[in-house]
Amino acid sequence: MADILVGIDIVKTFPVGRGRLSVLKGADLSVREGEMLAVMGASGVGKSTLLHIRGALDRCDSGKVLFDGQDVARLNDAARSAFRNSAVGFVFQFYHLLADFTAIENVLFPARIGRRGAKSSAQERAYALLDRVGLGERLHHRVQQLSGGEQQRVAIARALMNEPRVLLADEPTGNLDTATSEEIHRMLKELNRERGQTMVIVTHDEGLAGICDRVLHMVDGVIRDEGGPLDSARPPGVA
Amino acid sequence: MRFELSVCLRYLAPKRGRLFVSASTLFSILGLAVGVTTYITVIAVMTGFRNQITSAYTGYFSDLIAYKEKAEGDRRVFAVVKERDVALIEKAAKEVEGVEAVSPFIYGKVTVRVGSLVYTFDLRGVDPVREPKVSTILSEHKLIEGDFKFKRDGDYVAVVIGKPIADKAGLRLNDELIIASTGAGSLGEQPTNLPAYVSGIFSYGNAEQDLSVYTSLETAQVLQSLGGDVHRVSIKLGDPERADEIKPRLAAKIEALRQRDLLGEYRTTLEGALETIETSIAALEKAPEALRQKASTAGLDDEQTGHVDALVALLEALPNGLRETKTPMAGALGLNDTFDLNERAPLEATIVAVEGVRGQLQAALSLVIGLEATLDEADPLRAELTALEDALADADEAMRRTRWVCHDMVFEPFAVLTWSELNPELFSLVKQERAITGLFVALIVVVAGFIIISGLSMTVVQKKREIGILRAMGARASSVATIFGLSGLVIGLLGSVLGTIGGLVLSYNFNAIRDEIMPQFFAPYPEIPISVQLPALIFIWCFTLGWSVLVSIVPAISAARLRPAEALRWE
Repeated sequence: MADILVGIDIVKTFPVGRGRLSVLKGADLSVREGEMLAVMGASGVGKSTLLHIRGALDRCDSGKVLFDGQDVARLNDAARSAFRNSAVGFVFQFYHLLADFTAIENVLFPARIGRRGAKSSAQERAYALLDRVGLGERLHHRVQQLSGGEQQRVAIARALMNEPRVLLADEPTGNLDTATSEEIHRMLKELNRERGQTMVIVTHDEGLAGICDRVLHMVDGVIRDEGGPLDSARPPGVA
Repeated sequence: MRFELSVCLRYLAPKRGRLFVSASTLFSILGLAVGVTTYITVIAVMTGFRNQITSAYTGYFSDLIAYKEKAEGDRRVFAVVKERDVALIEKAAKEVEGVEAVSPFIYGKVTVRVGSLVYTFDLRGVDPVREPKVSTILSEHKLIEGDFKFKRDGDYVAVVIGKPIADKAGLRLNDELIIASTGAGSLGEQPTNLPAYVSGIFSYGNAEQDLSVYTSLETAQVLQSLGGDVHRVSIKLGDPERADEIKPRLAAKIEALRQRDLLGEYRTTLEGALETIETSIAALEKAPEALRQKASTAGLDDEQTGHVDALVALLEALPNGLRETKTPMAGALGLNDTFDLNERAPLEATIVAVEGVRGQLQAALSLVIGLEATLDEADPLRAELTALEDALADADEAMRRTRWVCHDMVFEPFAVLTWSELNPELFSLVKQERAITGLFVALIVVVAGFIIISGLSMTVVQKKREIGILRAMGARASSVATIFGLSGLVIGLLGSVLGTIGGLVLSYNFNAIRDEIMPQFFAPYPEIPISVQLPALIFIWCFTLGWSVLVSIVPAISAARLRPAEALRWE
């Protein structure tokens, strides 16, 4: 399968006081179509930053992010927004749902922002997605009325609303208990298997990394090595 | 609904746990509403007040006034309207559609003497038959006692006085008094004292109008030594709203009739002047030689000789000077019945030419008269000078009349104005006050706008993460800016709607409310006819909405500039 989202030599620094803190120091990261890829590493190593840059949520100082051959990093705001709306879908650790809206309204937002298709067909797809994630009975519940796991499932449904090529998940189970986390793991795997949904998942959760097709480790702002699911429990350089 | 609008409305709506945002929105809306309410009410009340003044005065006076101007130095001043001009205006009024009636009047000041006490009041001389057709100043409803017939009682002329005058001077109906004009009349005579009696007492309920003395046109003409002349002519229209439309047509008609009326005299004068010029040239060409001859044998002293030399020099130049007036005069004589003031160049050229030659003629006359006085009656030179004096005087008179008739034709036309144009200070004061008050009231809206900025800026901070979420889902920076711009617009709209409702309620209940709140203060004053103005409503709506959107630009740009990744990290 071809690589569909390729990050090449990505460098990112942040201003700190009068100087700059180097977070990404030439990270390369590619994901193949249909692949479920995990990125692991210590806190603060730059995993989320790399994810944000690959999803055009942030800009890198240098490097490339190629999507279908086009460098997303160099696009203008309108093009990057369109990319985020249609090519990728985000799932965040803290769900990041819009608190003033209901579950169904949250899921519909990507379609409304992108003005994709008729309102009725968008609603049907939203209903189906929420049903698929097990929230068919909670469509009109406000966000505050949902548990953490339910909110994350709404977030997943929202991320899939516009049928993105790549799902980018940043610590999707980081804020959930074990049982709920396992539900989410199962759901993500099913989505990957049923739909061939390509996923890049930043995680500390070894259980989640364990179900991925490939695991990459990030150390000091670069991708150091990769290993299969069985290697994910071992940090790099450890036998 | 587009997602920007639904997000905007959801952010503005009150909800549990987010009181600050809602309160800020509420204060913004209320602030705008107060501004809009106040503006609408103030304009409605002040417009009603202006209408009250207008109807009090325009019912009192006629729709249009015709008058004459003349030049006095470099100023334009009012001139009297001659008796024949009044007839002219009456004729014009009959020929212009929309004009119903005319009535001449005289105004000025009058001295009233009651016993040893002397007062000065406004005087108005009117025709009791024609005046009621043009105005309501002789309305029977305004009479407290007596009548407006101005019927003489023997030597006593009739006057009708305002109640304040009656109170001040202690006058009652049929009481006797002496009236006199305060200035000289048009014939330069001394003011005339007339015995009078009070034939009526009136009240308009207006101090300015009530401090007036009314009398017949004839009495006022005697008082002001006007002969048959008047000051102005009142004109009544069928529809007062058409005053601005009819005014220029009437003015043009009066002017055309005046010029046609003057044209006969104008032509006669110019033709006579041209004949006189020929005669004068013939006489003046011979004069220098004849003078030298007579002077050489007259035994003149040095001074007299000098005067003769100066006179001869003038006489030698005069024929050419007179000839130079012929060309413009001939051009001015070419006017026909359709004389157009835009073609007045020949008249102006004639005026300049005759003024120039008059200077020379008068200088020559002065020398002649001066020399005559130094010579014996039997002196042959004196006889020569006497004949010369007659020729010069004839020429000068011809030039004077020519100048007068050309000047009158060009520079002393009639004018027609609406009453409010004649009294601009009264209406401009009310208009100015309305504009200034409106401006200050609009400042309330300006201040409310700053509440909007502060509220929306707080919202941008509070909603930073939500903005990041929207951007993560693919919303553009411009969409984020639109959300906050729409917020300003919605706040402005709600403020305008509430304010309009408040303004209408307050305006239409203004009189009841003011009597309730301050009954003693407002008791002496009549109710104000409230007039809600659609242009004022449109203005304050546009201003409020425009300002609301404008002030939301700053927070909108601030929101649009947020970096998505940074916004998502916001706690």
